[in-house]
Amino acid sequence: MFLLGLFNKLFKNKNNGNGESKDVESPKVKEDIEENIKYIKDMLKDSDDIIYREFWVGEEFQHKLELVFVDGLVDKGIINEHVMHSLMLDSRQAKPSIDEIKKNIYEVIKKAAITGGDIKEIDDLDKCITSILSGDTALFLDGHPKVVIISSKGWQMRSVAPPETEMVVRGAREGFTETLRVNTALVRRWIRDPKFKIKQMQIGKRSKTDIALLYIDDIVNKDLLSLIQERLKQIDIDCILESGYIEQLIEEDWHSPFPQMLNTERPDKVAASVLEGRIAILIDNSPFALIIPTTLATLFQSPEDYFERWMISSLLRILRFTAAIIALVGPSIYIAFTSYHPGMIPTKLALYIASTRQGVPFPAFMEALIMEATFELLREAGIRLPVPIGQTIGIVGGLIIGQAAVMAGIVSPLMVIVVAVTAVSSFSIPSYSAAIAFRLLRFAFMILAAVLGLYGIMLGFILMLTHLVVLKSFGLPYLSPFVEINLSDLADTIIRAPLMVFKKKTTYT
Amino acid sequence: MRKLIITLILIIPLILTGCWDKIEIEDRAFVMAIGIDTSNQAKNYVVTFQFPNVKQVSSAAGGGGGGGGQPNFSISEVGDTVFSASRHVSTRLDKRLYLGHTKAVILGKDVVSNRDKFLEVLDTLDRSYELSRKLRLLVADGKAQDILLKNYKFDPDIGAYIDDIFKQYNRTSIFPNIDYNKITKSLHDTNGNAIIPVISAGKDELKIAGSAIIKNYRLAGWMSDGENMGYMWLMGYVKGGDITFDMPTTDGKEVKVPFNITNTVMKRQVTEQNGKIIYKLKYDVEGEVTEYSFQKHGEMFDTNVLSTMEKKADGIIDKMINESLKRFQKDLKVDMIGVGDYIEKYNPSLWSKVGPTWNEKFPDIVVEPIVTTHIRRIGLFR
Repeated sequence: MFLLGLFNKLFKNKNNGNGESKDVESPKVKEDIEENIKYIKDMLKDSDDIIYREFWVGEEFQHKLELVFVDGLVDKGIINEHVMHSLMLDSRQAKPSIDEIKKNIYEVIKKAAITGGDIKEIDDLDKCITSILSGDTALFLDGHPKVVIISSKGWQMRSVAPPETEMVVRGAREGFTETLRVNTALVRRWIRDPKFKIKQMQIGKRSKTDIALLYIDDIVNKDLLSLIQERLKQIDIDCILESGYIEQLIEEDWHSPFPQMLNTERPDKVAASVLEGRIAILIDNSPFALIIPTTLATLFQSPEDYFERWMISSLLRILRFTAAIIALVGPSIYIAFTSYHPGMIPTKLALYIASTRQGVPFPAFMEALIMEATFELLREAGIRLPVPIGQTIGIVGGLIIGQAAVMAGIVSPLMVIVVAVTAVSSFSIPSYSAAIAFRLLRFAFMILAAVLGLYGIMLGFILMLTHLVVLKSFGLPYLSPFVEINLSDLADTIIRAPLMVFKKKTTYT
Repeated sequence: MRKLIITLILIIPLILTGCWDKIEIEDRAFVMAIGIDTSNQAKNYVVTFQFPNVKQVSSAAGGGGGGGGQPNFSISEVGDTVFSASRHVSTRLDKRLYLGHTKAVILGKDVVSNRDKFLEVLDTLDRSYELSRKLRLLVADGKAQDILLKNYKFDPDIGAYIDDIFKQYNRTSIFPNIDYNKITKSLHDTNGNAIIPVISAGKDELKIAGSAIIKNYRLAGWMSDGENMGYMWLMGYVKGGDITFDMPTTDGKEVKVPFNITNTVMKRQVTEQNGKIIYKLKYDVEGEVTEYSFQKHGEMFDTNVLSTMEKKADGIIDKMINESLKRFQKDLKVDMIGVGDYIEKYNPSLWSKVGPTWNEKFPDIVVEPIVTTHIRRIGLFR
């Protein structure tokens, strides 16, 4: 509670400190080019990556033009070929009447001289600066109170690569990249529907991060859409570094360990969700899209489920739900059975466990805790390390520590098996954020089992289910469709019914 | 903040009360078999607990690596009651006795012969929350301790040994396949009447055969193997087993033919005629002739031969049933074959008439077994 208060205080102070700039009205573009450039130079002082290029056109070079852009963010080819070359050389050959040029050189340049594909004009200097900083090129013209913004974004970016966290055997191998425009294009390629909308907005007072809302206009729930837009507008933060910021700032219940939004780096998953009436949020600089609303059942879905035959997919679904339960209560069941209820284990197994635990110096709970902690350490270490060393960690962890611990008699071999099975189970949940939630709760269940045995595990289940039943993701019950009496919605949950069953997919399941 | 404190206060007692019955699995002695005998000393009972040496279990599974020591331990303790004996064991044993996996409880002959002691022991067993209702209750032909203190070559773990023998009951049907649950139910339903299988120990092996008849919570007699099968027929428990009948051959001799029962279906019916209760038992027995030294080629394909054989088998089964029936109706005069139970369940109006004086009525009822045997397989032929 104290920490929370402190956090709130800090957060508020930070907001207050930045609130001032909002009130100042942004200046309009002046007629005098020098004034405009001076303003921009003033604003972008000490930024050595900004390039100002002055040049003159006209028969007597009487028209001064100036290009402003950020080095590295722009495609110099576009500027050279389609702006400077066109204005300085090609336009001389086109030769519109001199009168016309004299009358309105600005219109001529805008309409006929620039051969770049995407231009727009603005008269707000602050907007102009934002555009320059996001990679566009501003063209100032002396004597005209307008700026032409030429879209020239072109920076070094990662190419489209397979989604590393969500690999499939069968299915598209495209994953999102860090560039928003590429990502929206990836989704657009799946849905060629005019009703498919990509609505963009900027969040972050300093970062001005582009985010895009993706939805299909005639399927999406309008209330949900306005709710999300409302919450996005309320975000008051300096910078959005990753989709996780958005997720945590607009989710309903920050107490919950469960993700209330699905994140994915697969365009096909986004497309499928959008077609079901969900809303996807894409964030610039993040290869992870957020999908709203999300239910527990969706966290167990993999795109592959729909590509393979339904019987196989159903089996895999059941397997994943079983895996989730093992990941959740595997070690705690072991603790409860061995410490409290040995009568529930088959006789021969009970004798075997008793014999393997001969001489183990720790109670079952400590043993499980040590092994689980070791496993978490190995996992954490493995993520940080480069791939070749990561494998070494696997060998050291799995073989050497496991084997040596058993040989030394510190842990029983069965405990190693339980931890290993639990680990494998937790990795078979398709959603990483759901898997972490289960992993976290596992420790709570272990404590409950150590204190109260199976009774404690059941208490834990009741508590967890109570929380899940109450939890909502943007108005949708987190446990739907299990909490609703609608059999047809259950067709895509624990099993995946044949595609013939889903006549029209418009429900969130 | 208030809420948080209240929640914490509510949770803390939950956690603090925990752990009181937590015993790590390696600190328990998994008692596989219990033997209960009476004692001539000051104390009433000698209770023997047998539990495996768990160190042996892992070395056997792991393939070598240490081992050594005997495969199981037995510990005997005297006590005024069975319960106090089990508690006093803890003064000599470094582990807590755990009865949740107990497979067999063996009662000495002395215990079942003494009504008071038998009732006391039953009370202890019934009240124990650890003991499984599926365990096997047996009567030793002598002292239970003698059976538990021996080492057996096939399986040193006596509890598992007994349990595995019971799993094969339908190969012979000469001992009743009834567990503790059925026995205690029968005892309490019929005011002290039950059949308990009998165990005896050879030099290095066990044998379960025959049964002890308990009447009014006291040993009333023994049933031999054959009688026992008759009892099993009357109860409809026979699902397998073998009988042998004599088959006359063409040259006037007789050949022993073994008949292996594979399945039986029993149908029961009770009627009342002129004040006499008629209990009809209809059996459909299926089985196979496993060997037959035939005289003529293809004799076994002859329907007449087969029907003769079926008749012979009918006769043998009928004889077994009647012998057993005579024992219960005439000698013991006690209904242990479930007639009263059947009437109570399926003919309650009749039961309301005869129920109160059933023990007097039982010796006079007419039991009519009708056996129909079907030979389904005749084995391979040359």
